[in-house]
Amino acid sequence: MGAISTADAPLRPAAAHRSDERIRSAALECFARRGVTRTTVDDIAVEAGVSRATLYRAFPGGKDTLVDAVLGRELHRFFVELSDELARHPDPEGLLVAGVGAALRFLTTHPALRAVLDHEPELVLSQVAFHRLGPILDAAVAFAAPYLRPHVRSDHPDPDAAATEVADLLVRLVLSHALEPSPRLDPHDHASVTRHVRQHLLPALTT
Amino acid sequence: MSGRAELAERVLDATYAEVAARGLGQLTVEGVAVRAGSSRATLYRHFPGGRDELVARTIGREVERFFTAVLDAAPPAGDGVVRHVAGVVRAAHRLLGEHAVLQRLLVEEADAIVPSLATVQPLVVSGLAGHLERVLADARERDEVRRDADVADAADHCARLVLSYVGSAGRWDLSQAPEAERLVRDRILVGVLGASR
Repeated sequence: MGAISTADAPLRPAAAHRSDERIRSAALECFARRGVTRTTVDDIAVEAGVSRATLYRAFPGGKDTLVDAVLGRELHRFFVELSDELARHPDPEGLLVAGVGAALRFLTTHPALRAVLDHEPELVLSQVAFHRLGPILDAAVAFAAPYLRPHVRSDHPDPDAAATEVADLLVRLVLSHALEPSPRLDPHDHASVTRHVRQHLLPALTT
Repeated sequence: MSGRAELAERVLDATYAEVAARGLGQLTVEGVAVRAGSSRATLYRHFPGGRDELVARTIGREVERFFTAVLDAAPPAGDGVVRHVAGVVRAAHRLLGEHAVLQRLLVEEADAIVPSLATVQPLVVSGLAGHLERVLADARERDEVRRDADVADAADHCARLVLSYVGSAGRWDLSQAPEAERLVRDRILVGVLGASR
């Protein structure tokens, strides 16, 4: 999130924002330690070093609101990190290796996501299967397609559609490997990612 | 079939019928026993894991039947690897849509059924990848697939994506053969197909 001007938020002094942020971080810590279901509002308040009353003032919906707030913040961080990474690669192979690698490293090492997948996978899996995948796919494809668009071959009859189709494929592939990691595509091994990109993904983008 | 295997089949049939009739939330070992014409004690002897084991094994059997039906409906692999894989995608997408019990569970009890399906997902991926590996290896002999392609790797890649598109087609109209073939030829298998694609 960017800086918040005093004109926009005269009622919430900077100290309150710092405290909100500390509560969000504490919630993420707690989720990483024991999953979402077993975490209570009290656990989060203790971890953040604030009272229950302070926590509910900042997040009136309690745990559900905090889950949404943390998820929103982590998704924001995911896309910011990814766009920083992607901006450094003007060539299509470098772009695909960096994008797939960074996305998978983020998702396979995220402590809270892994804790939830280990202890209560239904919370995640039920959100990314069948018809529920649609909105997630749309958001991720809208993010990825513009990076791919310049690399579609110049005589393609519909380059926007091609970029969208390849973005869609990449998102599905990353999601599959994030939920079900495989040594065939090891995001910590540059050679492994490069091999996969050269074999399957670069041809899909540039052919 | 032995008496033991026959009973197990009958119990899984009864579990499926109970879920179809009442939903997953209402499923009890008692109800399955009554429907199978057996007793709770006998059921627990054969399925010590109780309700969870009944659900897991019934889903496992349904998934296996589903993919047998899918492979039966797809054009034979000898007709060409793209036609075959596209046929698998179309048949699976169509049969999934026509599966009345699954579709109702996805609407009414998604939070209960999706995790159960997800737990069999790795088995489905590896089962489908095993099939595709044989198909791709044969296609490589016919020069449909490049000589230097790693077919085990391509099969895993293809299986993951096929399952994703089958479950949620997104922007693709998978009822149309040309569209499904374009997806397989230009996006999923593009890197391993030979020059004659």
